[in-house]
Amino acid sequence: MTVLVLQRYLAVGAILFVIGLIGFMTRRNLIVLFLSTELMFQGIAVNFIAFGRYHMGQGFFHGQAFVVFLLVIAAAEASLALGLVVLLFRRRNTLDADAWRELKG
Amino acid sequence: MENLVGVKLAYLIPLLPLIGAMVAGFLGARWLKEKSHWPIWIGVGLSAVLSFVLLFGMIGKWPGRAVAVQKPGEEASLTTRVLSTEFKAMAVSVNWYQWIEAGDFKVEAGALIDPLTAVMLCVVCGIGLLITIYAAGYMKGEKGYFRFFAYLGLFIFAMTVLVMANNFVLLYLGWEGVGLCSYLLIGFYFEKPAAREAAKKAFLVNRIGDFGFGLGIMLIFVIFGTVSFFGNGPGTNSGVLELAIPGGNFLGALEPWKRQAIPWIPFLLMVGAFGKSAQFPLYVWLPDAMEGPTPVSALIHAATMVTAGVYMIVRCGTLFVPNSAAMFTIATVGTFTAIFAACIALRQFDLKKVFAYSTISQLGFMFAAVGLWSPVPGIFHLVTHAFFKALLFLSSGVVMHAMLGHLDMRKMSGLRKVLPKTHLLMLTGCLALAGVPIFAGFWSKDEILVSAWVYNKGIFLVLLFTAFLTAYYTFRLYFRVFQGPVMVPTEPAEGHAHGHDEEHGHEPVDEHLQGQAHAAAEHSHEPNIMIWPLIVLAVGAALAGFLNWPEREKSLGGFLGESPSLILAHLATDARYNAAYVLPVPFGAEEIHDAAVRRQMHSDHLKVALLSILAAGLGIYSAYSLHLKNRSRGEELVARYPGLTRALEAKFWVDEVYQAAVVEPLRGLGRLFYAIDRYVVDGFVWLIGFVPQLFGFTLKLSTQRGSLQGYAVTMLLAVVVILLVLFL
Amino acid sequence: MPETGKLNMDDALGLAVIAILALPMLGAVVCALVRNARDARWISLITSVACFLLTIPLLANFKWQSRQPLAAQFYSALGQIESIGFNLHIGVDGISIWLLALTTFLMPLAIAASFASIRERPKEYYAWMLALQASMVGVFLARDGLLFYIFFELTLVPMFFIIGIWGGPQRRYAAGKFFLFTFTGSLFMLAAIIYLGLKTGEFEINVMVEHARSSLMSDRERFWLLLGFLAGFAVKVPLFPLHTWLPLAHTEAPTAGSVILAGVLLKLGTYGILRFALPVGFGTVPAVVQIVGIVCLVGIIYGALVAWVQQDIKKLVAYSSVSHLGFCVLGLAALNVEGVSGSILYMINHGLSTGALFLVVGMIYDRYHTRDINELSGLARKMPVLAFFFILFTLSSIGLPGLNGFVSEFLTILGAFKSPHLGVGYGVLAALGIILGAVYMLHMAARVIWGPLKTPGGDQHGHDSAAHEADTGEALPVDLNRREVAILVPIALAVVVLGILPNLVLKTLEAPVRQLIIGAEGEQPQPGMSKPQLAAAGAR
Repeated sequence: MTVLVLQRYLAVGAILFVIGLIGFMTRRNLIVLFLSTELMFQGIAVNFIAFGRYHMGQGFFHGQAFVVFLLVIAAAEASLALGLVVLLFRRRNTLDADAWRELKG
Repeated sequence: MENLVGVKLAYLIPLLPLIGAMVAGFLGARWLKEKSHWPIWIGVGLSAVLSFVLLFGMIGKWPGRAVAVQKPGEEASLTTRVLSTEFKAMAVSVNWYQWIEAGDFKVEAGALIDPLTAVMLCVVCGIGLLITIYAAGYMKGEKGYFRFFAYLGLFIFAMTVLVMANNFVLLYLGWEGVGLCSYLLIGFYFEKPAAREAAKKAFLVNRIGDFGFGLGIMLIFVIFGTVSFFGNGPGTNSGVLELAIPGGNFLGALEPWKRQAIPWIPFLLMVGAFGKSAQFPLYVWLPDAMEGPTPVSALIHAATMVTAGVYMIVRCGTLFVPNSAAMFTIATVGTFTAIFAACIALRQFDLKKVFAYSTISQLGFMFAAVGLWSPVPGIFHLVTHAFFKALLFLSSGVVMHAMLGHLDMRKMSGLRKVLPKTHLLMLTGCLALAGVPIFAGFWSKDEILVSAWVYNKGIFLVLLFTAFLTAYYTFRLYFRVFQGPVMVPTEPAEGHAHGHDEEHGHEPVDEHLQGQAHAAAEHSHEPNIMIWPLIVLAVGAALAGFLNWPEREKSLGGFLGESPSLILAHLATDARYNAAYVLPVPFGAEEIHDAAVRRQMHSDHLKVALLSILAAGLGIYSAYSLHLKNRSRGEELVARYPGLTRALEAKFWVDEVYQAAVVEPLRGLGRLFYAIDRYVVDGFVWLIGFVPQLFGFTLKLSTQRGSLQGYAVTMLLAVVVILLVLFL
Repeated sequence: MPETGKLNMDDALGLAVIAILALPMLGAVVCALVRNARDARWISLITSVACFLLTIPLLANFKWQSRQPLAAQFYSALGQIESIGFNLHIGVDGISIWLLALTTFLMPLAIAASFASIRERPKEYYAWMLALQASMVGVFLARDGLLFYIFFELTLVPMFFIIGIWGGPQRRYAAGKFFLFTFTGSLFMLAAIIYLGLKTGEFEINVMVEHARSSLMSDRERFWLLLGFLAGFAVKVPLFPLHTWLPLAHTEAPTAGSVILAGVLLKLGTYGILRFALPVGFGTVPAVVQIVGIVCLVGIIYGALVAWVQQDIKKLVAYSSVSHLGFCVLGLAALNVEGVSGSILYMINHGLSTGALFLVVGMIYDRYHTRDINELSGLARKMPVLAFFFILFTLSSIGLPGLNGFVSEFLTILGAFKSPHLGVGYGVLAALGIILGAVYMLHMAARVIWGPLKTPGGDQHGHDSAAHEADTGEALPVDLNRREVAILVPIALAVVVLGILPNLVLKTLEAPVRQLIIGAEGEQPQPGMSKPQLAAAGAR
C-alpha cells in the first residue's frame, strides 16, 4: 500500500469521525447520540486498519489487533448503552438527553 | 551502723503502713468494716517500734564524733574532714533497687538513715500511731471508716518515704504522696462542697510549690549530674550535698553557666517548701484544710506533713546555707508568715481555724530558724510543735465531738466543768504553745529567738512580738472556751463536721450524742480511746523541751549534729563565711565548741528567755483581762478599730486576691483559647477546605452543566487547544 | 542440639509475629461472616486475647542486649516487589515491641468494654475492631517504609467506620474530619517516604534512615524530608494547630473507639516521628526542632487551659491528650536519652491512663447517658468502685509519683531542660503544664466524683438499670459489674507497676534510643568534641 492509497483510507476515516462528531454535537436523541459515537468509533477503526495494512510488511499487527479489540469493546458497550437507554426511556418517557441534566451532581 | 537491726529492717518502716493501707482499703469495705483500723494500728505500730529501735540503736552508737575541732587557719581541706571515718559512723545509705534509669539520670529507691531521719521517723510514726488510735474513737461509726484508715496508712507510708529518701526524686515521691493523702483526707467528707474545694485547693497550691521543687531537682541534676543526697554514702564525695560545698574541686571545674545557675537551686526548692509548709504566699490552703476530720488536721496539717519543708531545707543544708540571699529570703518569709498568721489568728472564732493559723505561724518560726543558720532549733521546734499542736487539735476534736460538731468559741464557754480531762490536756497544750517555761514550746521557741538575737535583731523583735501574740490568741481561746460561765450549744451544728449528709439519712456518727443532745451539758464525752493518746501527747508537750537541755552533753541538738546534712551545712557555711560568724551551736555541735562561745550563748539564752517569758506573760495577761475578767472589754476594743478588725476577719483578703488575680484570669484565658480553638483554628482549617470547594463550585456553574453536548464541545475545544499547543 | 533448638525457638517466634498480624485479619473476616452477634463478640475477644498472649513470649525472648539494638528481631520476609524496592518485611525492635505490647494489651479491653454499649450492627463492629487491630499492629511491625505507610493509612478505614457508624450525634462530621485531616497530612509523609526511598533505592526503614543521615544527602534535602514527615505525623499526634479533629473524634467515637484512638492511634504519630523525623532531621536542622518544641509548649499549655473549661468529660480528656502529647513530642525534640526514653515511656503511659479514663467515662455514660460535668456530681457515694478507678487514673494522668505518669513526664521535661537544642526555658514552661494538668483533672474529679450526689434522672437508679436490661440484655448495676472491673484491673495494675518499676521498660530503651540519637547527632556535644568527630560517631 502506498502513501497515496493510505491517504484515501484516512480521509474516509476522518469523514466518518467528523460526521459522528457533528451528529453528537447537534442531536438530542439518546439513540442518535449513541449511533454517532459508534460512527466515530468506526472512523478510528478505519484509521487503525489502514495503518495496520500500511505497516504490515514490517511484521506489525498492532493495528489489526486494536481493531478486533475495538469491535469487542463496541459490542459490549452497545449492549450496555442500549440497555441503559431503554431504562432511561422508561423512567422519563423521552429520549432527550437534556432530560437528565440533573445528573451533573 | 550498717549492722543495726533498725537499719537492716528500715525498709519495713514505710512498707508496713503501706501493706496496712492496702489491706484496709481493699478488704475494708466488705470484710473488715468496723475493724478496719487494725491493719493500720498494726502497720503503723510496728513501724513506730522499728523507728524507735532505729533511734535507740543509733543513740547506742553515739557519739560518732563527727567533726574534728577546727582552729582558724587550719589547713585541712574540706574533703579530708568529710572523709573522717567517724563521720560515716552516724549515717548510712541503703539502696533497695534501681527505680529510674534513663541516660545519665539514675534514681535509686533507697534510704538515707542518719540522726535527722531517725528523729523524723520517730515523730512521724510515733505521733502517727497515737493519732490512729485516737481516730478509731473519733471516727467510730463513720461511713467510709475503712477508707479513712487506708488513707492514714498511705499517708504514713508517703511521709516515711519522704524522710527516709536518699535522693531528691524519691523525696519528691514522698512529697507528692503526702500531698495526695492530704487531698484525700481533706476531702474525706467529699459530699460537702467546702471539703471538696478545700481538698482541691490544697493539692493545687501544693502543686505550685512542687513545680518549683521539680524544677529545682532538674536543675540539680543538670548541674551535679546526680540527684542522690550522698551518692554511695556520706564521705564518698559523690552526692549532691557533698559536691555543693563551696570551694570543693567539683564546683571549680563546672562550666561557668552552671556555676551561675547554682544560686537558683535553693530558691526553686524553697518554693516547694513554702507550698508544703504553708508559708506566706502559698499558705492559703492550710486554713481550708481544716475541713478534714480532726485527726487529720492534727497529724497531717500540724504535726508531720507541713513540717516537710523544714525537714527538706535542713536535709539540703549545703545547698542553702552558702547562699545568703536564699537564707535571708527564708528567714524573712518565715518571720513575716509568723506574724501575719498570728495576726489573723487573733480574730478567728473557730477553734480549728485558730490552731490552723497558729500552725502557719509556728511553721514561720521554724523557717526563720533554718533561715538563720539554725537547723537544730528548727527541728527541735518541729518536734515539740508536733507534740503540742497534735495535742491541741485532738483536744479540740474532743470538744467538737462533745459539742455536737460546734467549734465556734462564741457558742461555748466554761467547758472546764463539762470536759474536765480535756480541759487539763488543752491547758497543757496552750501553755506549751504560749511558751510558758517548763513546757516544750518554751525551750524550742527560745532557741529560735536566741538564733535570731545573734544573727538578726530585726527578726528577733518581730518574732518576740509574735510570741506575745501567740500567747494572747492561745489564751484567748482557752479563757473563752474553758473558763467563765458554762455555756453549751444544744443544737447540732449545721453540716456537723462529722460529715454525714442529712438527705441520705444514714445513722448519725455518734448516735448516743444525737439522742442526748439536750443533755450535752451534763454529760461528758471523753471516751478513753481518745483520751489516752492525748495523755501521752500531753506528757510530750510538757516535757519534750528537755530533749535539748542545753547544759547536757547528750541532747537532741548534739545527736542531730551527727547528721551528715548538718555537718556539711556547717562546713559549707564555714567555707562561705568564716568560723567566727556562724556559731556551731545551732548546727548541733555544741559540746565540742570552745567554752567562750558556749558561755556567750548561754548568757544570750538567759536574756532571751527572760524576754520571752515576759512576752508570754503579757500575752496571757491581756487575754485574761480581755476575755475572762471582762469579756465585753474585748469587744469594745475591737469596735474601736473597725477597719483593722474587718481586715483580720477577712484574713487580709488573700483568698479573694488569688481568685481575682490568678484563677479567674487563667480560666478566662481557657475560655478564650477554647473560642479560638473553635473559631480561629478550626476556621482556618475550614478555609483550607473551602478553597477546593469554591473551585469545584465554579466549575460546576461554568462547564459542568449537565448538557451532554456541552461536555462534547468542551472536550473538542480542549483537544483543539492541546493540538495547537503540540504543533505550534 | 541446643543450637537447633534455639533456631526452632526463633522460627516459632517469627511465626508468632506473623500470627499477631494475621490473626486479627482472619478474625475480622470470620466476625463479619458469622450468624450470631454473640459469636462475633467472643471471636473478637478471643482473637485479641490470643494476640496479647502471643506478645508475651516475644517480650520474654527478646534479646535486649543485642549489639544492634535497632535491628529487627523475629524478622520474617513475606515477599517483595523488586522493581520498586518494596519489601514485605515484618519484625520488632526494642522500641516497637513496647508499642506492639501496648496495642495488644489495650485491644481486648476495648473489645470487652464494647459488650454492653454496642447494640447496632455488632458483627460489623467487631470485624472493624479486629481490622483496626491488624492495621495498628502492622504499623509497629512494618520494617519497610511503604508497608509502614500502607498500614498507617489502613488504620483510618476501620476507625472511620467505627466513628461514623457507632458514634454520637455528630458522628458523620467527626468521621469525615478525622479522615480528611490525617489523610491529608500523611500524603506529605508519603511524598517524603517515596523521595527518600527512591534516593536510597529501597524502602527498608533502617536503610533509608541510614541513607538520609549519610553525606549522600544534603541538608536542604533533609530539611524538606523533615518537613514532610512532620506534616504527616504532627496531624496524627496531634500537635497544636492541627489538633481540632481530635476532640471531635473523641467525643463522637464510641467508648472503645476513644480508647484505641487515644491509646494507640495517636502513638502512631509519635512513633512515626521517632522512626523517621527524629533520626533523619532533628539533629541536623535545629531550627525546626526548636519550632517543634515551641509548638509542643503551646500545645501543653493551650490544651490544658482549654481542657479546664470543657463541660463534656470526654472532650476534657481529649484536650488533655493534646496537652500530654505535647510533653511526648517535647521529649523527642529534646534529643537526649532522658527525653527520648521518657517520651517512649510516655507513649505507653498515656495509652494506659488516658485509655483507662475513657473506659471509665464510658462506664459512666452507659449508666447515665450524659457526660456533662454539670449534670453529674458525687458519684463516689453511689459508685465507690468506679470512683476508685477514676481517681487512680486521674492521679496517673496528672503524674503523681509512684504511678506511671510521673516518670515519663519528669523525664520528658528533664530532657527538654538539659537539651542543648531546647534548654531551660522550655523545661520551665513545660513544667507549668504539670500544674495546669492537675488543675483541670482535679476540677473534673471534684465535679464528677466528689461533692453532693447528683445524677440525671435523680436517684431512682433502680429504674434506670431495669430499662437497661431491656435494651442491652445486660443489667448494669449501680456500681461496676464484674466484667467492667475485670477490664479496669489490668490497666490499674499496669499503672502501678510501671510507676514502681519503670525500669522494666526504661532499661531496655537505653540502647536503641542511644543509637537513634547518636545518628541524629543530637547527643549533647561533649566538651571538646568537634562537629566532625560527632559525625564520625554517627557513622558508627
